[in-house]
Amino acid sequence: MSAISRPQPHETTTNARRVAPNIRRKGVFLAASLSALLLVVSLLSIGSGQLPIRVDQVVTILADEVGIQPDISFNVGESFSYPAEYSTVQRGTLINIRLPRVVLGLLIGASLAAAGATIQGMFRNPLADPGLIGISAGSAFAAALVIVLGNTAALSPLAGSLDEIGVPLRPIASFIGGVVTTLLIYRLATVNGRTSVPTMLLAGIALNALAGAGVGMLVAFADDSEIRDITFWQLGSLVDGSWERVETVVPFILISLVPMLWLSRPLNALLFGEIEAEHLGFNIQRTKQFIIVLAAVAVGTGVAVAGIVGFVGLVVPHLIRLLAGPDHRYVIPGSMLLGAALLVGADLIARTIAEGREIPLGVVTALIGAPFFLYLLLKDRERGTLI
Amino acid sequence: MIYRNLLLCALLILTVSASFAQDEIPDDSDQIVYTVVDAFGDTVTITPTDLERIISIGGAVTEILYDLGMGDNIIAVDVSSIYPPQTADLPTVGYLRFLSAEPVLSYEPSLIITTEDAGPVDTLRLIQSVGIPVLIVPAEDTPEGAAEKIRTVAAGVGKSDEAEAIIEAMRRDIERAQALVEMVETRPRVLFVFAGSNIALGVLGRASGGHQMLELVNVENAITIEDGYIPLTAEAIVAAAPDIILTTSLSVERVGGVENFLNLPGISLTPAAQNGRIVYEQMDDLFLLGFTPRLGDAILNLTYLLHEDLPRPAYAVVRLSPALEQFEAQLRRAGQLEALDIDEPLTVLAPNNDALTLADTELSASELSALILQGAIPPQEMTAVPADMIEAVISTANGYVYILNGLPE
Repeated sequence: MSAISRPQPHETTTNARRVAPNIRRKGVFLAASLSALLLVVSLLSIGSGQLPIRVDQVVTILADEVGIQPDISFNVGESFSYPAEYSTVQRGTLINIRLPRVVLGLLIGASLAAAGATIQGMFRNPLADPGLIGISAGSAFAAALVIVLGNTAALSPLAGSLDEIGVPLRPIASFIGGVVTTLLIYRLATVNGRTSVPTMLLAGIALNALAGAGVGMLVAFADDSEIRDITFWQLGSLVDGSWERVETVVPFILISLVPMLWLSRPLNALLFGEIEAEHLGFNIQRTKQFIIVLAAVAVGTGVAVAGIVGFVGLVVPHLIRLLAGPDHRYVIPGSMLLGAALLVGADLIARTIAEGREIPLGVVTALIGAPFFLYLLLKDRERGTLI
Repeated sequence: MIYRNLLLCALLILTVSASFAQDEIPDDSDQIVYTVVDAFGDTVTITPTDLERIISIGGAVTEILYDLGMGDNIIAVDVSSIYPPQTADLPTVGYLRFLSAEPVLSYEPSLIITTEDAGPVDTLRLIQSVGIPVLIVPAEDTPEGAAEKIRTVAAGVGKSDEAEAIIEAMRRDIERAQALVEMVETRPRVLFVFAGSNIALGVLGRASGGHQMLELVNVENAITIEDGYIPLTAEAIVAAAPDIILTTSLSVERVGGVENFLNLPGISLTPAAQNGRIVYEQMDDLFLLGFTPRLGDAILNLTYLLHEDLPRPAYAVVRLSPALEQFEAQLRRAGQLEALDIDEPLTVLAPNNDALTLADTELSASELSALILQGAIPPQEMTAVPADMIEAVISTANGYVYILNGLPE
């Protein structure tokens, strides 16, 4: 893939001083445009939904909610006035349903895309999606396990009592499942302290198949309602997004995303190759361990709340590389912003396109992502640089 | 400026999100309120104004609301609400296990009534947090559970007296069925085949509501597995060797008719298929598996249909004959179904569906009585009726039912 082919060394070393201002300007431009996109998508998402709430009502409700009640009133045409009248249902929907959903979409989109960016950097392969190394499948399997086993006679009292004291069993299980699968793959692929990327990819395929078989086995034993729950997990949805969910995920997402920003330098060095990066003075094995744990936390948290939402981690870093090149100082934060925007936009489609119901979020991202994946394959088929 | 303020607001809201208090429900203490304890033990408070725009989620709840005379207040239902037929005209909020808060709220409901089968539960909690009462009704698949369901819904809409009448009618039918099944000497092996709204054909094992129904009518479930829905495998069905296959009319429709159904792999090799013993007509999903107010009706009908050796009195024939569906509905509506329940030789001149459609009117209770009782004539006098008016004669335990293709003068 040309976007992450090795840069010519002299470009980044001898001309470093001269290109520095350009880099800064490019960074500012990228950050500004992506932030603007994110803001527009978020506002659009807050303002749209199946329950009609006009823009002026949105503004008034938000102002009232924060406690700002400026002593002004004005009308712009017939459609916009302040303060606008609204019903308690509109206010409740906006504040308790739509806003937490948008915030959750932002957080999960950012973590899926950032996890994708770091894993692709580690594998030096743009096809490395978090799903590929088994995090998503492992998470979904653990969630399905809890759904089905939690209802069996032997375990349901335990599950019930945990549920009563407020332990969200399924999200925790899916999180643990993701971390365990990823560590397992890592152990399988690491020999004498060195991770072999091809082995890791192939182990990921094997474990994905195994987790898929496990879910399939559970589905065969599940009843109608359990099948529905498992389907929910496998297709992904933000349907039960609430402020409690936001509170639960914020710490995990901060713990995983903030350190990722410091990974850009070792990942940039890794673009030259592992040995070269070691020679440049980076502890690559340590970096890989870091990436695996951080990505497992980021994706596991996302799966725990929203189920498997595919292709975000694949598409977003790639788009950023097309826009700004392979430098991870852009790719990682840029992916966070664009990932957030993409997921919020996809969720907007998921919840508004069909009247009276929702389509699963994972379906929307797959409809966007899968053709993109094929496009990547076709574009590079002749060059054979992808795999 | 607006956008900047909006962004600020959004950020502020994010940070103060943890401290949100729920909106207080206005306290009109001088007004009538109905308080109900729901399936989770929470107390739900409903005012008469809340009853104006009801969303009913769950087929049984919808049926109960119609039975209680609240049908006109329902503004939307879920896809499992398929009875009574009027529900087809209402918009739907999707499937009850896949609810989403905002589509439900977009109909501007004042009350949501649903069962504990609905979900995700978090979605119901979100709807509650907006200040709209959500009544979650217990849904146990037993006769007591069905009665409890009716009582809880009725308490929520302030119609508890009507509920007792519905429960009493249901109980009478169940008791009658129980008296009948105690008389039977053989327990036929029955295979309950079922196709859900979007799943393939399967059979119902011993942990299903369908198994409860089979127990209630004293037949043997041909499936011994302790499970609910089990995907259909041909060999397992052959091994189960059922005498009778019970299924829903929708399942038969799905495979393109009863002939195709009986030719399905596995099913075609069962004694049931070879003897053509399949029960599916007039069996909608809710009737058989919904544990709705029609439960008594369902149990009594199944008792007669699955125990062929039971003598069928006139009322049973009228209940079970698809050609008399309209006649039965008319009788039921007029509260005259019991009029057929006479333990003496009786001849009924029963107008068939076509005839009642031709009549194009709802018959009054007295007209129906006249039709049944004064129209009851000794079989030997039936020669007075022109032969071309008689479509069929069905033998019953205590007389004959003549199905006429026109209303007698």
